[in-house]
Amino acid sequence: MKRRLGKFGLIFLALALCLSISGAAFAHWEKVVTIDGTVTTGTLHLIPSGTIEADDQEKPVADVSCTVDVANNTVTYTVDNAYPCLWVNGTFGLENDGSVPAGFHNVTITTPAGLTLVPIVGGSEIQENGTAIANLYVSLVDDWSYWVQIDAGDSVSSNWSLHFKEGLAQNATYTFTVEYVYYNWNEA
Amino acid sequence: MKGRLGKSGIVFLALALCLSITGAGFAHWEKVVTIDGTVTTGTLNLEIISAADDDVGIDPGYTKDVADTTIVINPADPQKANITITNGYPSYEVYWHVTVRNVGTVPAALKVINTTAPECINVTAWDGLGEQIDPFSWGGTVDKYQKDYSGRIHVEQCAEQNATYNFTIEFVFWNWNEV
Repeated sequence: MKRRLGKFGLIFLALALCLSISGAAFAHWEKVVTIDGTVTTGTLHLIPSGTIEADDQEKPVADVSCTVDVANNTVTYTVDNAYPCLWVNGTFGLENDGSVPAGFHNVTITTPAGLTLVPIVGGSEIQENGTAIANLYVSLVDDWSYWVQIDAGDSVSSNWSLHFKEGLAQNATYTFTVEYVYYNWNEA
Repeated sequence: MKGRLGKSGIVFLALALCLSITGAGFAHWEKVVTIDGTVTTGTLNLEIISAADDDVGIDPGYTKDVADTTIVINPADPQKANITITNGYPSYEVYWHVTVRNVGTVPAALKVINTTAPECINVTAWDGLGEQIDPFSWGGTVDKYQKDYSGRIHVEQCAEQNATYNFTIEFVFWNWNEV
């Protein structure tokens, strides 16, 4: 083709092609109506809190402590030198300092092997291999709806009591974990 | 040829040529009939004349007022509107609505709707592709010179907390006869 058209022929062909393309590009008018949007998302964040005290009747025998690790959303209760009939009382609370409501999803209680929680009136009996070693009572400061959903800026709290019983073993250590899981309220 | 005519011959030939040309110039009468033409083109122009969303307090589909959505028309450029969602969360959704009027002089037709959005924000817009909008100046019923368009914005599960996402919706109109 180059031989037949020559240089001028090729240039002419290229020009014609350019013009035809340009012609297509300008063949319509166009007006664009635009909607720009921005989505900023909120935050889901809960701060736990807790207290503990031993109700030693006459002598400060048991040693109790409570530490709150806000960064890891953890409350750790420790009871040392516990003994039968000792009452230990505490509180547990949650504050929603995020910007969206928190919805209670589930709770997981992890106990050592051999320990079981048996429901009783007003709480649970903790049994070790079938022997009652303590009773646990939990009461919510407000009604349940506050625990189901915690609105941004709101707080909820509960009181709990642990009563050690005669079946408690000497020189023993018990550890347990209670994990509350919250979602954004609309998907809990 | 130069050898045969000689200098005098060439000069004579040039003179004869000049005379013949000049002679032709005076050889006829002339009357020119002229047609002048003017083309004034129309305009393709559309504006958003109203905008709304369905989050007017309680979040749509829920029981709490957590997120907020606003949609406003740019007063300096009514071809643009801006949607702002604050305190969004997974599964939050809101529907938006705009009314577009043809304020130009030629009919417009919707060629295409382009949406761009990040992965965790689902943006949809509908519809009316190919529908024509006549100029407002033509009058007639309202459905002739303006159209309503709607869409939905949905915050997906992968949306991060305390994050900002931007999206764009474009309604591309062409002159009606080429859509």
